[in-house]
Amino acid sequence: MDSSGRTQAALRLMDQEGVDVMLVGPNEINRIDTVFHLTGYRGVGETLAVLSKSEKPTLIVTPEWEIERAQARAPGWTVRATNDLSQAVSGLFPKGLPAGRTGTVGLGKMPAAIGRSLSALAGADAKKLDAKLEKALMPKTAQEIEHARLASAIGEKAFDRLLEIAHVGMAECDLAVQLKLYMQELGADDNFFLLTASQHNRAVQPSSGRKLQVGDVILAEMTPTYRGQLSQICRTAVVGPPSNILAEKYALVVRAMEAGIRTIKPGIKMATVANAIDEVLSAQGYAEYCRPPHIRRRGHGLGHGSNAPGDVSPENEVILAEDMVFVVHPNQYLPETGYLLCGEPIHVTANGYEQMSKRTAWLGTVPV
Amino acid sequence: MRVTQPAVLVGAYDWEEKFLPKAEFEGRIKEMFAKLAGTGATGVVVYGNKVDNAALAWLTNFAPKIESGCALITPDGKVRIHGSGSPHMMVNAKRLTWTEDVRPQRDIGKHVSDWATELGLGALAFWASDAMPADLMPRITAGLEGRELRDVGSTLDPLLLKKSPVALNLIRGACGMLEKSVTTLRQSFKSGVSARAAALAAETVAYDSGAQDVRMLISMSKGGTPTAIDYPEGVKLDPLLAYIAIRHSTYWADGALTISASPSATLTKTQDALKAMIAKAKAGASVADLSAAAQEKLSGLAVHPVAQKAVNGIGLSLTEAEADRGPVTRLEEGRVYSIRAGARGGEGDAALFSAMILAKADRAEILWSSLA
Repeated sequence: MDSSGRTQAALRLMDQEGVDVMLVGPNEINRIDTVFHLTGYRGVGETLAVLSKSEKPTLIVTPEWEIERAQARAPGWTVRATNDLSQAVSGLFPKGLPAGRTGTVGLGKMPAAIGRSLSALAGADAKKLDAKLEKALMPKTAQEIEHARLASAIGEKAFDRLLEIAHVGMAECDLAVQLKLYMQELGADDNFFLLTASQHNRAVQPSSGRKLQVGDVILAEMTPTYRGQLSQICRTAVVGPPSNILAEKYALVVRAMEAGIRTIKPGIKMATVANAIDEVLSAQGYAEYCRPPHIRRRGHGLGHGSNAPGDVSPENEVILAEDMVFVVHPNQYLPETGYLLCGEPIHVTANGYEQMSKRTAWLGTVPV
Repeated sequence: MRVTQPAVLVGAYDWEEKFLPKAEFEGRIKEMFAKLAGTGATGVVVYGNKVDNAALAWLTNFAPKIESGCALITPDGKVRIHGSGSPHMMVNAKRLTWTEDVRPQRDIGKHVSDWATELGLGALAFWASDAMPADLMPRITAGLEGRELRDVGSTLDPLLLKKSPVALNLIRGACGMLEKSVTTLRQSFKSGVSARAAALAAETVAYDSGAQDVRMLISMSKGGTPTAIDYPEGVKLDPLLAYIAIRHSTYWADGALTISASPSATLTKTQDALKAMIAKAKAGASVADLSAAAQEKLSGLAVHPVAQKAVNGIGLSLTEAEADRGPVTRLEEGRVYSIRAGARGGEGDAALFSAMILAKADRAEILWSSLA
């Protein structure tokens, strides 16, 4: 699928659902930007993609001065820039939106006043098509897959940099900021970047001002976007020489991850990947740590407008297909070592998989 | 000014007593309940997310680094916070605020209901519903089983506007960081690097200076309106228009500027326009008068779209919500404003300049300005 194919897929969905107009909004809080996914434009203000069976697709952006970038990023779309999104929609449909034949996506996730106003325009009988549109737009474009490779390379370089610059006494958030800037320098345009450290981690978290100490285990979930496409590299480093138990347990977690990755090919259920990881860990006596509250998932889809194919979890019955992109990350809590991160981005190919990171996770060491 | 919103807030958002003493927050909570006297509110629910957290930060310093959070506050000053993330993620979430009681957020409606039941509360007030996603309030009210929840945003929002000495001090600090960042942007531009590289250098210096957050917008074409840097390639642009916003301990400062190696009438006139606005600025001055003074100096040039809204309040938000939800019409004593002048000549010929001012009875104190 290419980007114009994505618009066609949305229009086909409208046909199937019997709607003539579809209003699609972004979700800024949870970073599921379906408008970006459809158009290639990520807003600084509220945005709306308007698909109509009879008109060229229209992207409405706010504020008014954002028109230049919107036009550059959304070829094939008629771009309207405004300071009042609802008024612009009303202007597009002076006779009102078609009663009973309007679909909506994401309006509930827009800021309250705008979301309510657009929902009122769509009417009480508008069909909410959020899940159906996500499914219809799921396949990645060849360009997005290439961008995921580039984002993966950025994430890997960032871990190398972490090992170079981290030092005792450095605040977690200062390290995170330096790495964020480094990833920007390499071309990242955003980053769902979690980095945290302690002597015994229970989770990876957004960074705090806590200062690194000898013996800390640093968890880094580097999730840069390259031209909007996410990838994720999960890594662990220890400040000072690792203990034997830490080295041993980290090797176990990596082995479990590799067992999961080796199962990947088109036609299998996503659950198979998670089960293969759990099997390795359970065989070593960690079965109880393979379920909540210790672990909820072994990875997840990577996108920007779509997190398909969903979580790497025993409950996910999705059948893997060529060109799906997701991260496999056991991210396991073990009582002896605390939480350990390892994760690799995967692209499902015709016959198996491509690991988009060049080097599989290893236990990094920050010299002291 | 609208800016890009990152997926996660990465910078130094931990509460630091040296910047914002606990007593400041305790005073703010008292002030809030004083404003609510007579409303019957027995507790206040305050919402915030990583995009819009002004009210939540004002009371608790808690700016969610991921997704959202809410504070549940009683008149005795007790504060409970729920933040996004698993129970194990509350370790770092607790560092964002002065209150000890920080819990994971699963279902705000249920948290509010449980809290109100536990404490035997009656009617509740809700602050910052504007920041919420549209589908959240119905879910919250559904969980309250008929308990009254009154939206008090219009009553409480004015509390954010006048700046305390502590807040002013932080804004001055943010302005200092802004100046360092702008200086670096100018130096980088002169050194001949690409616009993207210059912006990155300016952002780096801002963080090095102590900023907890930095947002940058720059031209994507010669003289283009500042916008998100969403492309990896580097090009040199002259003139380069930029907008930088810097946050220091929850308070923002922002600035717009234009850099060019060649003088132009548009640049000069826009600078004169900003000077004219500053000269007229003081408590009680009307924004219409400031804009008229600017337009006179622009003498025929079109007002830049970014400067159409010439004045906005700034503090815990880049654009503060006014009491009447409209634009600023008249400057008020004790408030901090970001004022902008901008003009467009022909293709690629545009300029933007701005200043941060504190409105005083007889004049405007310039906290920062992009005038050279």
